[in-house]
Amino acid sequence: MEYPIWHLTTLAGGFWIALIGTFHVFLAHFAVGGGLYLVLSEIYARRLGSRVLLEHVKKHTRFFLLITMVAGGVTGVGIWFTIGLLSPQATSTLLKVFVYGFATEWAFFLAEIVALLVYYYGFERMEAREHLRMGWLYFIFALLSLFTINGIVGFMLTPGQWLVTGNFWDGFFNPTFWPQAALRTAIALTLAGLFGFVTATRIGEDDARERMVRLAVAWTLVPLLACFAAGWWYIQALPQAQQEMVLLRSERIAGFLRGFQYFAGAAALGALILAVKTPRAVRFPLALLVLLTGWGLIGSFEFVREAARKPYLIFGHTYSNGIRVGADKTIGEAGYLAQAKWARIRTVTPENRLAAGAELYQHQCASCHSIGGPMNDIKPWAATLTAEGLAGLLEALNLANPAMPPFVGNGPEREALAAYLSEGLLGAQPVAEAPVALTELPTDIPPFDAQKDDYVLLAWSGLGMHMAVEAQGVFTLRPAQAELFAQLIKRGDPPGKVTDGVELSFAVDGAKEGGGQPVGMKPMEGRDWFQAPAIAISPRRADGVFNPYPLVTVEARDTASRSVLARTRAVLPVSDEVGCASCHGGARPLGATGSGISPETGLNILRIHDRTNRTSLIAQAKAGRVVACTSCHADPLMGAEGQAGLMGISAALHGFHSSTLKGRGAEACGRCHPSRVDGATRFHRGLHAQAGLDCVTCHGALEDHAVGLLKRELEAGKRGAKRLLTQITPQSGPAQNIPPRTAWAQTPDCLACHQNFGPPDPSRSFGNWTKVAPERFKSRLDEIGALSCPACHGAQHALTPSRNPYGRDRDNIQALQYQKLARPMGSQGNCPVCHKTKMTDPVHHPNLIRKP
Amino acid sequence: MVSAQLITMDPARLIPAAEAIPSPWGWFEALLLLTFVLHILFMNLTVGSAVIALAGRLTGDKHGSGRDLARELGHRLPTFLALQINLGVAPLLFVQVLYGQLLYTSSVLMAGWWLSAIAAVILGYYGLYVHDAKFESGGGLSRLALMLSLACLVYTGFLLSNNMTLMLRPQAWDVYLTNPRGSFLNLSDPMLWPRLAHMLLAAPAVAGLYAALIGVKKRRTDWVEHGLKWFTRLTMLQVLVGAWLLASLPQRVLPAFMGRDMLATGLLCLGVALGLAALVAGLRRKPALAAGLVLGAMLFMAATRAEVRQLTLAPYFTPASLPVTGDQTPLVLFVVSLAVSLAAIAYMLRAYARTDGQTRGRG
Repeated sequence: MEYPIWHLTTLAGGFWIALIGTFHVFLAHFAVGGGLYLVLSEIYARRLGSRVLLEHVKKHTRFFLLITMVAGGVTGVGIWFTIGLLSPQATSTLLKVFVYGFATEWAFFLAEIVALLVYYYGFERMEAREHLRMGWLYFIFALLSLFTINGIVGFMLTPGQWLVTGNFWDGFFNPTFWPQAALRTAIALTLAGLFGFVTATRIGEDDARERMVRLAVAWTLVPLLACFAAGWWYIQALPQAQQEMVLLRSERIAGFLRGFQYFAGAAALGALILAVKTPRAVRFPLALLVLLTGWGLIGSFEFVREAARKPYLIFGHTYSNGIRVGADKTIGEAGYLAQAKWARIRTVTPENRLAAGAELYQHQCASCHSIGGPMNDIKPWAATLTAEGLAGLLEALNLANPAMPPFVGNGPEREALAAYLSEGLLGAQPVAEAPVALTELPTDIPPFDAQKDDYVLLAWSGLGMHMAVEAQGVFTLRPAQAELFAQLIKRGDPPGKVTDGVELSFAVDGAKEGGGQPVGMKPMEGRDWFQAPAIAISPRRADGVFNPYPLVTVEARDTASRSVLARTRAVLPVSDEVGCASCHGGARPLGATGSGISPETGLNILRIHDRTNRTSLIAQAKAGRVVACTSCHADPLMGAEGQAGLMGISAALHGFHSSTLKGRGAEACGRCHPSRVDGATRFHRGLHAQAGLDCVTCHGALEDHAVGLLKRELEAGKRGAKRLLTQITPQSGPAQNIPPRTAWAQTPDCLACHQNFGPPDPSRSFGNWTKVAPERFKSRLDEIGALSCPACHGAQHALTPSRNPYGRDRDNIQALQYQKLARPMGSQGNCPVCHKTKMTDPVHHPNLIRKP
Repeated sequence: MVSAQLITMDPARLIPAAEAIPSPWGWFEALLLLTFVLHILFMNLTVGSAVIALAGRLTGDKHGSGRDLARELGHRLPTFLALQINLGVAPLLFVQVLYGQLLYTSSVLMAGWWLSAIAAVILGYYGLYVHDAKFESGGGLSRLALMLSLACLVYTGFLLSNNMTLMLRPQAWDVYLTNPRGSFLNLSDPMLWPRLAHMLLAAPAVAGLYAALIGVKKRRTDWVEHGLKWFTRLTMLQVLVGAWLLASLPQRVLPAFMGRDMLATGLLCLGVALGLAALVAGLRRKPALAAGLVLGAMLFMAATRAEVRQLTLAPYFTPASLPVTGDQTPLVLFVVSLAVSLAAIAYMLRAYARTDGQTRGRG
């Protein structure tokens, strides 16, 4: 926030530091290992008394000097230049903390180059012993300079106690000082071997050449083994956060770790092939090629180290974009632009929105992301989200992806950056969620003659709305299916529950699937009614028109006579209006009404999952194997057990999105669920909706809802639950006030508000869960065990009287059929519907018969 | 597209906040001064020797003394550059400690140019090796390499002058408003050209003196003659360039060197006096004395340069305002390692010097 930003696009994202940095460390490590190689080779040549070998060592020294002192030394200065340009803030901190460390390294470097020059120019002038002493001095000073810089480089990843004490020595001898020193020394020795091949393969004399090549083979292979041992030590020494990044979370690091292994393998293989005597025309170019594996080896280590440090330049102190830790908390509503000294735009206006976004991009993103360049291109990532999704992500950037720093800025700035990424860079046009116009469908009420008819047939859906979640060919979370219950009552005083000698069936009206043919229902175990548990049903009519409230006709027949005893109709709600695309982009396959998830949207979602959880779901989907979310994440609704140790799907999804959709009310629910008040489904349609209650009233705001679910997962020790919980601030107050909840097995308890079935106490609407499954509205029985709640009241979210957006009385059919009144069955003196006579005793539940 | 708020902003408010330093600022200013003088000494030897060698190769006859001197200097050039670079690292480090917030800012403004210095130095460095290696066998290539090297080194000096002057001019930084691409150069600064000219003119003069010293040692009176000629003529010219540089100082700063500030005026006068004394010694054919006086002049001129920086920045920043953390143990680390390194260097150079002129049998 203090410094100007060098505006880069294609070559942004740390391109220069990657280029100059990896090149420098490649040569600088050779400068260390190669020093020992020189001395030992000279001793070897002198012991053998071989003039040819000694001459070779001198030539190799010249090669060494030209490579390490010129290109190696100057690129070292180049790193200084580069970090000062790309990250002036962190460079400044590093420099002021470690000025004497850098000065020490400089002193060693001075002695190092004097030693090398004396060694080289003294080759023929100095007495053997003294000359060797110069070589040893060179190696010692080179090693000392490596040790010094090792402390500073290690500090950036693992500053350890320095963060607390600010003490030079705490930062210098940080937790990875020794393992990193060991690893770097091992790599330095390997590189000495690889560089050794370059000059050894050019020796003319046979014996001398083969001797030196064999020496280079040993120099390559032995330290390579040490590299793996030291690498393991290094990873073990990492503090938990950095180690998790390396081993579990970062998808990029997995690639770099693989790269390290491949390059090591290639170096070993190359060394072995070079050991075979081949013509010089083959061997020398091959030696150059094998040398490049060394660049890859050290380059991949440096990339692992840098990526493990994300999102920091100095871990826990300065973010990758040079912003100090904590700035996101202190910036306040004034915003970033107004407070960053070098921002060229100070406030976001409707006119400068995209330009302000570009400015913010340069300040906060360009240090790691290029625009269409070779390093970490932002475009493919931005393309997986809409402007709205990007704005949501920016709100929780560091939470959604632990490798990202938080976005520092206010709301308009967040939206300006999101607009720049989406509209400015990708040319995407903003899509406004337009209200959906619905057409009412006819709802015929079946006949009922209170005088003549002997039976009452009640039918109800298992859910007030079943949300189907599938991206065709990509992933499936919940298929479109429904559950239907039906109960046949023989009217009389007392009425009877009929399960024997009757057959119940249902037929879906005009549905594609089932073809309208009647399907038998089975008696439900332990209950006096019938059930059809997994009805495949589509939210679309045979003609393709979206209809999330298809009707079924249910019939009860006498088994013996086949005569129809009773007939009714009910709604089986199902919708695939899932809002993924509004944030995750991709096409909306079926236009505004009804949506589903397009394959493109599905892939965008899986890409994020892969990136932050190190999975390979994209590859799986592209190979034609549809990803079943519930094969890993349990879903009690569908009976999927998932994988042990992983969170259930409800906790995972709500927990993750709590950060990206925070601070909102029921509209947050409507971003994913078909509950938008102007959407295509509008499933919250019952009595509670008309009373002004919304999702949040009973379930809590998204954050609060997620906290309940996550707490249960935490109790079960599920991975990630603790991290997500620490990221969420509930809207209702402290998280400790929200009791744990198991998704679907526990629901908001109706009787918490309606104590003793009385008038509601709204203050108790959130946070009182049913204790056991049979207490849920869906399963609960009345006080005499005769009827379940939804049989008379309608399904949850559609409590009678419901106002269905696709036809006012679509959910009220039975109430209207049997009592000509859209009220719960039997209410307002309608006991005779079943009892044929008026009743005075509210046996089903208290308060059923209200006093006038 | 971009608001004008930055333009109207007080330049002082653009200066990034500076962090605490471990020791009092005087320590770093002294280290900066000392290492800068060493760096500049080797810069003079590198660039100046390259100029003299190139002139010798372009004008001298095939077997004349100019060519001999060019060979001699050319052989030493890569080593000079190696030390020049190394000795440049230290002042670059210390200037960042005291003035980093200014230097990083000016570097970003000219980022593309600044980064190109690295490529230029590498290219120039290899050119010097090619020049030396191909001196006998490939005259054309060797000369071309030297020319390329010289061009690269002068270009680098040009960039350094740009950055070192731009960091002193916060009032010019608002160019960032229209050019954040890092392609700015401080060409409008009246100090830039005389400063560069002053540096570049000193280089062959000092290298001439060095050539004269080699001549003394190797008993080549023609080199002594030739070298002193470079030194004396260019130093006379330097009087004019020096005056130009003085006149180019900001109006606010100039009076300090004209008597208003005793320290500033004293440093400048001592530097000039020592330079003139060196000139006289050169004219009297006393290269060793001249060299000693030149070293003194360089020290005082470098101190004058530091004073110019302080005075120019005075309205915006003084390093005395930097908070000090006060942990001195890392300083001990540095002092000990420097002592060890210098002892080792002394040992190595002595061992090397002992074998002067000898070539042992191999093996």
